[in-house]
Amino acid sequence: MARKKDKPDIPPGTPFQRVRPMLITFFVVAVIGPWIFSSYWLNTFSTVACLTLAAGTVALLYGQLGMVSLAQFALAGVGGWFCLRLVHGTGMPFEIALVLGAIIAGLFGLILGLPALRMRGLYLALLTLMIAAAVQVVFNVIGFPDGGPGWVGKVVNGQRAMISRPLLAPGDDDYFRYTMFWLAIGMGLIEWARATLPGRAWGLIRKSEAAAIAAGVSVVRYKALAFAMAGSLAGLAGGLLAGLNGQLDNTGFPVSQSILLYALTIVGGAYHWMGAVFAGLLIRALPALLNDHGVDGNLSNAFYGFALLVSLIQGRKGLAGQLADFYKFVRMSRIVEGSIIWGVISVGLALAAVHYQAMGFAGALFLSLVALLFRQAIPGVCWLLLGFFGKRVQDGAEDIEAWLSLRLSRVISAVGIMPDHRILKRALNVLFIGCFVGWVVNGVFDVNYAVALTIIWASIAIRFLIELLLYPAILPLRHKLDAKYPKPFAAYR
Amino acid sequence: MIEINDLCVQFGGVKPIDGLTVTLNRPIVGLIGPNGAGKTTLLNVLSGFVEPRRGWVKVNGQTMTGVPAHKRAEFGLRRTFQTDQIADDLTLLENVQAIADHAKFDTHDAQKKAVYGAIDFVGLSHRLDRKGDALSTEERHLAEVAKALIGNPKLVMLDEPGAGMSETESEHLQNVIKGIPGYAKAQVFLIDHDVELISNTCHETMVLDFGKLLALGPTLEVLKNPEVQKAYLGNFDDLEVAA
Repeated sequence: MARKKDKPDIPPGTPFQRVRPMLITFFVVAVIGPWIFSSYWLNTFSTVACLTLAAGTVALLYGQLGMVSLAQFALAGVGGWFCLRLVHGTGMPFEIALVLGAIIAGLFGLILGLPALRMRGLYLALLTLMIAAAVQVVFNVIGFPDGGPGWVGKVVNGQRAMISRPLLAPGDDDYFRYTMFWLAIGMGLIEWARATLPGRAWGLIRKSEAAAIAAGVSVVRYKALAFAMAGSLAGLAGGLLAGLNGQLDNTGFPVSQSILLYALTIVGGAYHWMGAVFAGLLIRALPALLNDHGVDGNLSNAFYGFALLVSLIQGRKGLAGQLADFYKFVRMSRIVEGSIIWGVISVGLALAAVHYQAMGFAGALFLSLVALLFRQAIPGVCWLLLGFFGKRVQDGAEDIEAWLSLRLSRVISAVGIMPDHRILKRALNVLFIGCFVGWVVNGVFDVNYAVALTIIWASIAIRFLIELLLYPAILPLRHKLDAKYPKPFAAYR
Repeated sequence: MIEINDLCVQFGGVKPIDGLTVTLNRPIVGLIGPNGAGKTTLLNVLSGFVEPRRGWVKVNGQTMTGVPAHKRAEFGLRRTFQTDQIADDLTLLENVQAIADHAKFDTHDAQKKAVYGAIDFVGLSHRLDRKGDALSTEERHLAEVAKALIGNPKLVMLDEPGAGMSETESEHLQNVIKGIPGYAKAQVFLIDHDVELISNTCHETMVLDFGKLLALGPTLEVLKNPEVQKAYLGNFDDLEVAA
């Protein structure tokens, strides 16, 4: 009964193929990160990695089963507590304590998941919220172990002992890589489960529990699996936080953080691993950046409320989902071409910066790369941000831009030059990137604005020139590549 | 073969099924009846979502009473739902594979063969890698049928598979349904409002009205039965009285 065949769909690929882009991203970040950032920012990004893992567990429960757990950050606290307790109590290596802490947190998560077999939606959210509050109270009372006597291991009126960093990773840069390694394992597990049998079973349950039961799926088993996984990986994140600072603060795991974690996972996107990364960055890196510029980091909370509202109105996929939708259409040729040209330009400019002693090689390289990345990404991101206000605003902005561009083109053609209708868009784009990236690197690398702007605009200008000059030579290569490897992110989710 | 004996279902004061005794042994059996006749309730009793107050149900001689719903799938009871249950963000292949994951197969290859075979059987092999939300209504209904064919089913119950289909689409569905007894060696139990679908596919049709058996027999005879026509089209005498 074969029927008419039309445009073929792109297969999602084997589980490994689906996890691979994430692992490559984490690997690259882990290798390059310590080389670029200062120790303060490395510690910030280590925290971001832990929070990313915690957000990944929220996304696992919400995205795969539609269950709202507001206790994931509290579970991170549980994992951290047991990790500290085991290291202080027995002196065992950090890694073993970390894994044991994660397992214990997983058991807690499993117990937490019991009510979820019957409850969902608002009631489950309220229940987990209360559990998070209870955990907060317990931590306030008994505190985190710091080498004291007794079962709680708490020092009273004395010097608090800290656990030492793991042997493998004594320094800040090592520890950043160490965290990224665990993050890759944790998120890799989640993504692998999503791509294989458990993910399919979760898909059935998410659609309808009745249908899942009728198909012979044990709903209890797969819900329990999700909660145990989410609990233990959150616990792992907590243990890594404990290892980062050597101790944990009694007030470090409040209910509000659990709620913030959930909210920002929704904003970042619960259906894509990038969403968890966005959530981690929003929770920790954005406030740090604001603080660096002398703005109170808590200001970002006001922005988060707005962002959550908007992403609830605009669609369930969050930032990551929208970005993934956008990059479905990216062609292979652009990726290859882009990486080669970007690499050449940024290395060249970074060498130049070192030669004129304007700034360090790594910083300039980073700056130039980000500028070029933003040159590609910002139009899409601006479009998405406008989308937050609704389709009408998006369309309205397009109309205004078109109207202005038309006027500008007329002026230009009146002078006697061939006009380009995209000139306004590009000018705004370049201006914005200059200001924004300049602001960010001014905070992170303490570079003065003039140098930053020079590097940013020089990289964009050089890229434009290269494209203009090599266009005839590149065009056939592009066609060849695109014919052989069609849009690589098309099936990505 | 489905044997139903003195089946009674009660929700509070309502009796959706009231003393139903019937034996259905033809390969494709249809079930029709006006709204509220107890069709879906009967299906829910068969698949174990509703416990009957009285009476029992046997499928191929095996008593179903007391067997939990997820065990019935193992035994070989498969069903579809009125609203299709295709997960939007899984591909068609993954949707069907998800069912096969929980069915018993001797080897990995046998499982793979069953999955691809079922998809090919309903005519969707050109849609393997399409995500659920990109499938058309017809394709989703056909995919539901494919899911019900996995794992050596003994009885395939289809709850309104033809809802919202055009005439040509419905014709394809008819061919698929007619092929099920031969393909899966399973009996088909079909609920639908579409009388044409029923009359073109079912060897035998049963009519329910207010939880009671109104008629049972070869499809065409049943559809011609004046009692059945009255139940479906309403009683014109009553209308005149009301006017």
